[in-house]
Amino acid sequence: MLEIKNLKAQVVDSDDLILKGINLSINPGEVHAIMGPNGSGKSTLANVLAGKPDYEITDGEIHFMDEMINEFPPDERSHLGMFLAFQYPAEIPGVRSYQMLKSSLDSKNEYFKKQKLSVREFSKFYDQKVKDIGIDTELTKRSLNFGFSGGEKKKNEILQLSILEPKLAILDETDSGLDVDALKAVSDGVNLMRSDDRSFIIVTHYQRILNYIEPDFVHILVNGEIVKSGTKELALDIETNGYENIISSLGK
Amino acid sequence: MKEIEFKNISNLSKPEIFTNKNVNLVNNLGWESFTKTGLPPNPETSELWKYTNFHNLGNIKFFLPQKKTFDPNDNSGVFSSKNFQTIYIVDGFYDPEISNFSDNVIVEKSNELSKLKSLSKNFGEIAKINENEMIAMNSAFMLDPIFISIDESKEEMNLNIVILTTDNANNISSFPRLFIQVNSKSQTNIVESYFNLSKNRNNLVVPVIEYLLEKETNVCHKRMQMDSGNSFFFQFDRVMQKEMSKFISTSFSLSGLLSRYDIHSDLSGINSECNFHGLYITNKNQLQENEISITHSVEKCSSDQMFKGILAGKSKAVFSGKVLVKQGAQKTRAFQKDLNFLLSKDCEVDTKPSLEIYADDVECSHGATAGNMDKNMLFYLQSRGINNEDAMSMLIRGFAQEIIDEFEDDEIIEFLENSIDKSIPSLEIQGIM
Repeated sequence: MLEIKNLKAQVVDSDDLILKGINLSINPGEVHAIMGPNGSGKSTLANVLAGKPDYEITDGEIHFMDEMINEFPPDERSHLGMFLAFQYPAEIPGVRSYQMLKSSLDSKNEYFKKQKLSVREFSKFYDQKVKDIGIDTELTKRSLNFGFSGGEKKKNEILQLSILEPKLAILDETDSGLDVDALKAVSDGVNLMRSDDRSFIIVTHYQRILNYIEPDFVHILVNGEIVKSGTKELALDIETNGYENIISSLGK
Repeated sequence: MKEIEFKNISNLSKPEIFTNKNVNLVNNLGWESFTKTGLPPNPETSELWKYTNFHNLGNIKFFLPQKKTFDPNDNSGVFSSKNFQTIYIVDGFYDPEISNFSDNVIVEKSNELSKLKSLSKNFGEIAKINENEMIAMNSAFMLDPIFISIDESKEEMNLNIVILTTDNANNISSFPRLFIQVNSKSQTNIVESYFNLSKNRNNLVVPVIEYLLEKETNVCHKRMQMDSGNSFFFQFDRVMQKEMSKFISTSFSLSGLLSRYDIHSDLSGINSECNFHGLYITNKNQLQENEISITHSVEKCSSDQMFKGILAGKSKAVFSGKVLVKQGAQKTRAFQKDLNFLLSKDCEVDTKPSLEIYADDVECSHGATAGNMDKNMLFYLQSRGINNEDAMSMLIRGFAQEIIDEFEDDEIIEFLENSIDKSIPSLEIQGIM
């Protein structure tokens, strides 16, 4: 599903590589956690995968759903089935969640030359998802993410995830700034979406979210490289001993 | 047809004589004043017209309009609705044939004043000739001033005043002039819409509308300036508010080549309230000026100005917001804000929110911003499968939505949403990403 080969990337027009040769392979249905200390490049990796124009790929390849997507714009990556749940979802004045998601689905159906959903069909689908995720319907009437609390913003990301039904969902520090209840609600939403043909990348600093969303694999990213991979026990080890042990064992 | 060339005003002769002596006086004084000063710039008003270049306007030969017929059932793109009573001003002339309104509304032409005769003594007192050259120009060249009076009604009152430019053959200059009295305790929605339907490039339209709000009136003023982008358009709304009156105004301006929306309210009765909110959209080489001013003459009044601008191409916009709080106007609350969305590196906004305060117990604030397309918002939408172009349109529309929603009437909102959706693709977006 996703195959990252020797991926190197930097901020556009800078000379400092942030990702220094990432290799990662993800199969359908797998949940991979990417952990690492601050500044290790976790969020950069998430954003580069989603195609944020602030970054440029200087070497390596990203293959997703049998396409080499290095040059694909973000909207096309979305159509192929990639979804990024943002660490800091943008507040967008005057645009309502419903309206954006209708456009999203319409674009996707257009891309695959499929019939668009009628307003009635979409409304029914949307309302059901809002109910499933447990979002206050008052919020959905507001401008996107405007005046939403941290928890509400993240829940709203999960709503989008559940409506767009991606093949690969990347959760970029979705746990940051959430209290236990919000974290649980968000995790429940994600777990509902787990299936044999849908994969997840959970980018996180802390092990905490992995208590709720159990990963199949855990990768430790330090200074732009994956320095260690393992199973969920690796995350528990980080929780107990911190990143220092791993970093010092690298001899750097 | 009578020809006017504004750079040679000495060759002009006054077009009309009015039977009502007050109207005639205003007409004569306007004529005297305008033929003395001519078009701006003039030293006394240089600050008012700092950004307006009258050079091209002066060189065009205009004609005074002739009465035309207009069929409101034509699919012309003019906003109309069964829920609104409508008064049509076609090329400067009131058209009673196609206008319709209920018993609590009286409309009279200035030469046929009867019931509204007493209003004529206030004519020209709210929009004063000595204020600027263009009000003087309207007073000098107006052909068909009308008086409107609105009484309290049991049912919800919606009035649509439609000002049209329709003449395709000639460079028309028209000078709509209205005096509207809103009588005590009436609540009314007044739509003021301007549509330029002419295919001719050079039109000059200078409407002057005087509003007299009696005690405890509540007016929701909804203004639409739908220009084809070619005309010269200068609108002056002047409002006089008595005790406990409310004038809540929302404006939507699609810019002409050279256009100005100039509104002023005098809060002259205590506990009165005035909001001027609006959106302006400029493109190509257009100019839209917004001269938005409020005078707090007495205590315990509140006002709020909130304008938003969307600028593209090489266009320019001006927001000149003024609040004057006179001595003794204690407990005043006055707020001003102007927010601009710049879509091109060649567009320019000059924004000047200003407060002039002579009372000491007041709560006032002002502010202005100008920003470009937000990269994070754009990426957010794109990551949800919306392509770059559609995402930009969505952000532009989103910026406008806040003001559009303030029109609060579903039919108008739908009409404006369609208009903006139609105009977004032609906006010249360049050099900002």
